[in-house]
Amino acid sequence: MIFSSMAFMFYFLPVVLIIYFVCSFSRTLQNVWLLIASLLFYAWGEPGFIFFMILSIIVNWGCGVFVANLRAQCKDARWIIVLMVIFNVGVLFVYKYLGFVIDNMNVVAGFTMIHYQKPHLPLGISFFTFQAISYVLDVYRGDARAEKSPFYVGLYIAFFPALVAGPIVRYTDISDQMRNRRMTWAGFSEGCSRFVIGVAKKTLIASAMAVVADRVFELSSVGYHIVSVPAALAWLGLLAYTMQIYYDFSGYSDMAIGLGKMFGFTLKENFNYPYISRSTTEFWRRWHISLSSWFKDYVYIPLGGSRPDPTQAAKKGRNYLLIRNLFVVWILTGIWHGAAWTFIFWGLWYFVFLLFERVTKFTSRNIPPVVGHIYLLLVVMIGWMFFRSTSLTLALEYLGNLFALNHNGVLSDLAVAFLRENWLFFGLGALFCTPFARSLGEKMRNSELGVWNKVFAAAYPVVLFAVYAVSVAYLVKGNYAPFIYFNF
Amino acid sequence: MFNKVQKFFSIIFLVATIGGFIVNLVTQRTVFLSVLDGISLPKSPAQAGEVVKTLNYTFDSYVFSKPSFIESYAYIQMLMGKYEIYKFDHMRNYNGAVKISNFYSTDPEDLQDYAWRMYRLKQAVEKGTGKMLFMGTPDAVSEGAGNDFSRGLPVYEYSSDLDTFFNYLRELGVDYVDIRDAFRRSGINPAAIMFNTDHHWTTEASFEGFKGLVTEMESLFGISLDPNGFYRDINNYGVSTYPKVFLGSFGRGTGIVFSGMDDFTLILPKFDREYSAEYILPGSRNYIRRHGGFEYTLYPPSALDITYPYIQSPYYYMYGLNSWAKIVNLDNPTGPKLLLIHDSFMQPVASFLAPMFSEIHTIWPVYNSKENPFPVNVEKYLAENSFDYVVMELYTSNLKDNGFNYFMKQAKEGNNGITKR
Repeated sequence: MIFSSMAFMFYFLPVVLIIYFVCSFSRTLQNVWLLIASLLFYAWGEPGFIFFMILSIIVNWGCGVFVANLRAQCKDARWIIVLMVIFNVGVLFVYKYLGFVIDNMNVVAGFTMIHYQKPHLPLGISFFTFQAISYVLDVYRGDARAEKSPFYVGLYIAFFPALVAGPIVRYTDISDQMRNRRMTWAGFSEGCSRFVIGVAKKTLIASAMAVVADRVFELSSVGYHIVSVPAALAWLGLLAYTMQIYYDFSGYSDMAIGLGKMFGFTLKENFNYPYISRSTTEFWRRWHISLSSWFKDYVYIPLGGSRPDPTQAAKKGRNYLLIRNLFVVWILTGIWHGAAWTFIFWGLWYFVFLLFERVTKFTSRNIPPVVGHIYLLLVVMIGWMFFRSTSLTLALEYLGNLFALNHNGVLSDLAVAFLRENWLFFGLGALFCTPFARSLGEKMRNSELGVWNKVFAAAYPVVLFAVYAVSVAYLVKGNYAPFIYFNF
Repeated sequence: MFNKVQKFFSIIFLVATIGGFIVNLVTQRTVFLSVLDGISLPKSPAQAGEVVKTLNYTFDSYVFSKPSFIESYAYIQMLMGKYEIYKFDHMRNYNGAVKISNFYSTDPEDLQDYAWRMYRLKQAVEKGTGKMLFMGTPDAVSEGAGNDFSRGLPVYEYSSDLDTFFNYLRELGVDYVDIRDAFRRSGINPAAIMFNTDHHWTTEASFEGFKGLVTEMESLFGISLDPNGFYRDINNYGVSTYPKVFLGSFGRGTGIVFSGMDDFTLILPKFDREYSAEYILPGSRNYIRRHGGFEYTLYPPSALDITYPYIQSPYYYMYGLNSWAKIVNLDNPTGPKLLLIHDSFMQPVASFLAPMFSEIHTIWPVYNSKENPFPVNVEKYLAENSFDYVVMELYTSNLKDNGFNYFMKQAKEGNNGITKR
């Protein structure tokens, strides 16, 4: 089920909220209802995989219990961890990567060596698999207590606000909240506002940007010998995609965090104005924070992080293990996003720039902020170009269009039309990429601007309701596209 | 202070969300109950998926006061000064006419294949004693109207495709009518050829199309369908214009605020003829049978009672869309017999042709696919019936497999030196 859909907003959510608050006398009952609602939410999108989801819950709960028991007996539990990783990653591999591997084997062989029908990718599999893995690993490390009942593991893995597109929730962040969260009207209200902001980001800005990006990438994929995509149009399409993916994904995260708050949960932030960064290092501290911190905690640091074992470092050179660790993390980050060479290249793209920044101590140098911003935006946008393209060939074609290398010229009437028709969304998109609106709002709230405090108080519900109403009008019109991160 | 404001908003949000749920449930309950009645307990994940798809479609389609939301959406687009709407599906020119977009041209290879199908159709018709021609339906843009679009908008202009297709037909020796010539001769204002809110010709343009077709048939086949030009004389028809009653398919999608409403001109013959007609509506197994004069048999007067333009249309010659129809002119039993293979452009044209023929059969291929409950196979139909003339008419956008998936097999040899692909 999609948050920004009629089914969710006007049927699922009100029913879930009503029953949830009717059950307010019992936290257990509320949790039971949330689990039922979460499974229904998943079954709505993936009826065929609901049993797989339940199996994943039971297996990972079992692993947690086994690990805790073995640890209590001071026995080695690593083999359970190995089995758990084989199960989770194995399932992910079969559904997400096996087809890609077979395709490439066939390409290398030069003929169709293996006929393989790619299975349908279960919704949100990469997200809930990572949550499940982190739960068992946290139990193994002693960071989390193993749940005796599969119920809470089920609620943790299946919790519908964060189920299909994150943020990737850690068990340690939520375990206490499941039992002891405190419901307040203030929290609920904050959740409502956050949810509406997320809906607006998705239905208004991301959808408008998607129209431009999809059209331009589609035109480019036709091939420059048939349709010319001038450089201005190519850059505009790429800018639109850069905004689309941010508002699409951060909008989803806002909705998830807002829904969490409505039910009394506090989920961690997933975005912190990534496009204002001045380096890729900073960008990845601000973009999809839950994924980058997951890789940091469960892959990068266990591999040795940026401080590798000094004895090995001495033998093989100080930077070797750092390079290896970064390489592993970024190739995995690329692969996590999808089974395609474009994603692998995208991961390696960041590996190169992060390594460059590490080696040159880029962030410590006195680089003018403007230069840093331009550098970051160029790296990120060209990265998104690979990310958005369906093949490396098409990505290279698009790259040629960007730099007018395909006899495609520079100026474009279509770019003018796209810009003129969507000027408001480009403008709002650029504005809300920065903390400007937030700081202005904070200043008004804190009476720093005198009378503006009252203006803010009066305007806030009106503006938010107007945004909500406009978003609903867009939804009824059917003006939405699936979330990009649903594909991962 | 801020907490209070947020709390206030949360009340608004709850009222809107829960209120929306209740209002939709109450106002759409008949639809929901009928949908639920049609759903059986799924026995497999695939069936469950279908159930979910049906429910999602129902929730999205049946919304309390949906037209108001669509109009609000249109109003917002107008406020932003937009000329395109809904993902560039539709665009409005400076005069308010709505057109669809096209970001790049159709592959002409498909058109060549289509020309071959026309050629095979012609061969099949000529196996008897029949004659066949293709009638192309030009767009207003090519006639000079509708060019006044804001800079850069990718307006769908398919005249070049139509010209390419005519070239293929000419090479294969298939006769065709270019109705653009008839429009130019008639002096009709290019802006009046198409509705502003729809992709169809206006009734006046349809009448010019009808005149052009008859003239071309007479010239190409050496026949005399309308020797005195009586049927082609507009003075023999009653012409009434009904202001702002028609909302075409574009307008229903974009909202009235964006597209406006069209005037509708009804052209009805002043002369009396007696007809019997049978129609099968798309997706239906049942016949609509009518008997009487033009007004009633070929145009129901009730079609002008428009109270809800989003679903009602006065553009209702031959009872609107039908997958198959047969019109018998009881006053002209010895007249020629015509088969029209067509799309929606021909509804008024076929009606105007009715007095000149003893029988007109019409088949709309896109509604006669195998999945249709009552499919008519064009190839079989031609073999089983004898027609004096076959006119094939398709809007250029309908030159696709689902537009005419007959006579697709390859010819054994080429024609006129053209090598078959």
